Amino acid sequence: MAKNKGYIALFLIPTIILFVVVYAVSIVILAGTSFTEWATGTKPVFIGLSNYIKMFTDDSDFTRSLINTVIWIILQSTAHVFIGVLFAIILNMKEFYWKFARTVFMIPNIISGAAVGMLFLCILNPEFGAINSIIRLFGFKDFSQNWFMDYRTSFFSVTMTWLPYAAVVTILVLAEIAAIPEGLFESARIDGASEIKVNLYIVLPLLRNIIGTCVILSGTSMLQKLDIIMMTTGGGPGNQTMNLPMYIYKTALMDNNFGYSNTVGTFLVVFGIVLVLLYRRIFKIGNSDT
Amino acid sequence: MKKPVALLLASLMVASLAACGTNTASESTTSAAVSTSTQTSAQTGAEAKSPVTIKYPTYRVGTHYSAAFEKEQIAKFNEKFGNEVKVQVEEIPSDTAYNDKMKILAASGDLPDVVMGKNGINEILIKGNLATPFNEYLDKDSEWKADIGDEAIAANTRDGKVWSISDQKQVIGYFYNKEMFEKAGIKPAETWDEFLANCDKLKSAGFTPLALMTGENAWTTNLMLSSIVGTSGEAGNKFMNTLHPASFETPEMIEGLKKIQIMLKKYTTKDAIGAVYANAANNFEQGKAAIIANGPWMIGDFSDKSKSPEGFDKKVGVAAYPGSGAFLSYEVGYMIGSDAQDKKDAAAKFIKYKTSAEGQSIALELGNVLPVSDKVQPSEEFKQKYPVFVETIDVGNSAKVKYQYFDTIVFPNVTDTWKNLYPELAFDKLTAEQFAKKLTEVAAKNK
Amino acid sequence: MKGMKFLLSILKYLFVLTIIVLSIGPFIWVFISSFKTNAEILNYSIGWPQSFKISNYLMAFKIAPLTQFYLNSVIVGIFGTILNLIILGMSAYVIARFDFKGKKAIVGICSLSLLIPGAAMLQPLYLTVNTLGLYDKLIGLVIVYAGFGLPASLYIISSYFQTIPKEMEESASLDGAGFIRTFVSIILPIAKPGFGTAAVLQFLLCWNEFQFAITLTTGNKSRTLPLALYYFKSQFASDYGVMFAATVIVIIPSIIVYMLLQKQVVSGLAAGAVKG
Repeated sequence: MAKNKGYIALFLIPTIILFVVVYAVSIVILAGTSFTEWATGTKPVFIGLSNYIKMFTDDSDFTRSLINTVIWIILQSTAHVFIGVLFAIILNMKEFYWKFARTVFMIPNIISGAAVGMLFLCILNPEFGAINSIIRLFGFKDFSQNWFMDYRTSFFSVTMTWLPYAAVVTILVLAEIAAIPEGLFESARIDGASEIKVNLYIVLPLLRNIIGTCVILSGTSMLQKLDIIMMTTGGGPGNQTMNLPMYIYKTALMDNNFGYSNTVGTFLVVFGIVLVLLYRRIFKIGNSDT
Repeated sequence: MKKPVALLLASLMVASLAACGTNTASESTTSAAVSTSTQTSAQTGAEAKSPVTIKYPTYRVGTHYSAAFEKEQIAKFNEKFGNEVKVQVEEIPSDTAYNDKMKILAASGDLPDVVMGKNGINEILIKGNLATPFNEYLDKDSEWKADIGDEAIAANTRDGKVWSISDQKQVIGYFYNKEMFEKAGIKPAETWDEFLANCDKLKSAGFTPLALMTGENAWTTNLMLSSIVGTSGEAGNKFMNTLHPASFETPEMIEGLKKIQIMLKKYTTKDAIGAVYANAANNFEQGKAAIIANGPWMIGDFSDKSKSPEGFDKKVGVAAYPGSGAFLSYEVGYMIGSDAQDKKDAAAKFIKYKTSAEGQSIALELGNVLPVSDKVQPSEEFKQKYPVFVETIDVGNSAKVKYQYFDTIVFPNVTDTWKNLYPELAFDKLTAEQFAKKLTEVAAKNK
Repeated sequence: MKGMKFLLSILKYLFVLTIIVLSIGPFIWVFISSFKTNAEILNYSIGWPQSFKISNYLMAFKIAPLTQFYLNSVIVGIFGTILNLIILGMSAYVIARFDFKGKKAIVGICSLSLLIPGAAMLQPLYLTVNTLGLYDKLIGLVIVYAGFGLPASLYIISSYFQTIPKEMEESASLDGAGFIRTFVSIILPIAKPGFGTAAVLQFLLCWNEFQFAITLTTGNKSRTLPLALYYFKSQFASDYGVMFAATVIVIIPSIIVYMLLQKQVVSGLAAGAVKG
């Protein structure tokens, strides 16, 4: 393998360059200025750990954002992935609708987050939105649930703008199922296993790696979720639907507090690392034993 | 054997370098004061005697109500001064995106030559010493100074320095649906108690009284709140004319918030909580609400058939707020963000044109915005077309109490907070007192 | 047992139906509404428009420079995807197939990039892009987006490589094929489905990104389609019909492009299945 060393390096270099150009500067600035007091248009001033102390001890918005982020990560890496995998397995039965369903399912994922947010904002509008109008058709004439702004439904409504749309998971899993040697299925069927059993005992175990990938992608996507929240609730009512990215955005560009915003940002990165390590442990990714 | 990959890499590099080479001529030569070693963007020095290029980002594009006059002003400027100054317009749709980008540019020391100072951007520029005051330019040019007027200049002066040139005056009362008022048997209220009683009457006549909204900057709701506070007596009026109030826990604010709480609960449309401006505007224009607090730029919409039913403009009246109140404030307007002297001069020239009597008149005729100077008067044709506009000016002139709106006096992060707090107020999660306390806390967060 | 089976298939169809309605319902509603007038939208939010007026669409094209933005989006989407796939295909291969010093560190650092909050990257990336002289250039966006897709593509492609049996390379190497030839003529063709899926995700990322597109460009010559949507939702705008029309205009091409690319993915899937 030693003769390949040069190639290995060469194959890695472009990725490393790309990483340095796009991320390295950001990481350095992010971590560096998290220890400073830095407002827009002024120079950063070193203040040690004050930002961190404030974040952990005296910031209820931060706590709320963290809790929401964690809840969304859990939902996304369980319910969301479950929906995606289940749908993939159903589509893989190749029944009459499968191509149509696969394409249609992807539509909400194709559209930009901002457009999805705008779409939902209109559909859930209490006055003229489609949902309330339909409910009114069923005889509840005065029905006017304010889905996004009533604190009883806001969290649910925001969650529903992404939770069911697991098409990416479905696509990844479908690709993986397609790569399973047909022979495996056939021998199982010859043994008389039912469709459900084939899926449960043969397909699912083989999907462990890709499901792991999906859980990581879906879960960590919640560390970045910003545009839909910004477009629909802006984190409100109060801080009911605030998450860490939204809080970071607000702190930097509304409070003009780049320093503190980067403190929360650094926390988010560390938090994400812990999360990924945790996922890796659960799915034992990296021990390539396929 | 390493060749293929090396070749691939090299060609990628070349491709990106080639791309760098093109189009650098239009790059700005600005390298702003705080900029460190970051400004290495290639320069070709092709602008020796050619016109000075200035960068002007604007959010007045697309469906923005000022898009029409912005276009006309720039076209006219190019016609007149195109050989001296080349304006490089950057379209930034959405006000939020504009604010964000200006802050990023300010933090990077790359401000454009002409900056709109609203939404707290002026504060950042002043604090960071990133802008050039207009004093010298105004001293040299008495005609321009007269076109703007002393009041507008004073509104944007800090410590003797004129940091920005206001491009429009805001006089804001509220619009009401005359037909609905007639059917409910009411007239515009003189006191706030009467105002609420009127709302009751409208409601029993089968109309939703108020087109409020709490999304975005809670604009129409906040106009009501500002008016309640601004007309509540000396202390309240002073509050509404104070830049950056530190504490919102004043009796007037709390009283005002209590009234707003009632309005949000009883007198507004179902979608008011969380609604954006578009919702409120449509509710009023489609006859779903009787009253909307908003400025004169909306008047054009009343006769625009794609927005309002035919003949709607005849039904709209305008009134001062109870207690004879109206908003009167000058927009922050344009600032000079350039670094090099020739760019500064060119930027000043551009701003001068935009705020001159001619520029103001274009904005008035095409955008229904009030000129800062009394010298600029609407044409007869315009008055015929928009009688409500003339009424608005009258309302502004006859109102006894004048005050500003929240967006001009509070920090941007406070402006951004209303949308999170109002729903809690409306759903009884917060009391008026707690609401005011939260505002104080948010204001303290500002850097 | 039979009843159970029946129940399961009912549940299955119910599930599929729900997913389909949730996925396409909102879009259909907006599509129909885009032909309505403001008054119709507000008063009869469900139902057909009185007549299918295209005035909203004409208006939309008048308000925003949509054609130019389209073109730019296509360029950025295609090159952003190609660049991303080339770069990450290479590194995913060596990461999936070889053991070397620092592999864990590289993978770790690359997954780090998944975690950096976008808002915190705005200003630093602006500085970087400007320093490299890529500000307001499509190539700048291409590189930045290729970078944004780094973690996802790396994961997807390398986990696909892992499903390819090692014997494939071993036999190739016995035949005397070198490193590059093994990669290009043996591995790449097999890995098509992996690349296909990564390409779709990467393209959509390029197609939909807004915040960096507006921060890293200044002229209309290098701006992309998502920005167009914001021409219709300025603070004091209130015309829903035009806004919906604009939404449809922005969304439709992504759906078409996806359907086209999807064929690629499907053929890739088939290829993957044949190989087994």
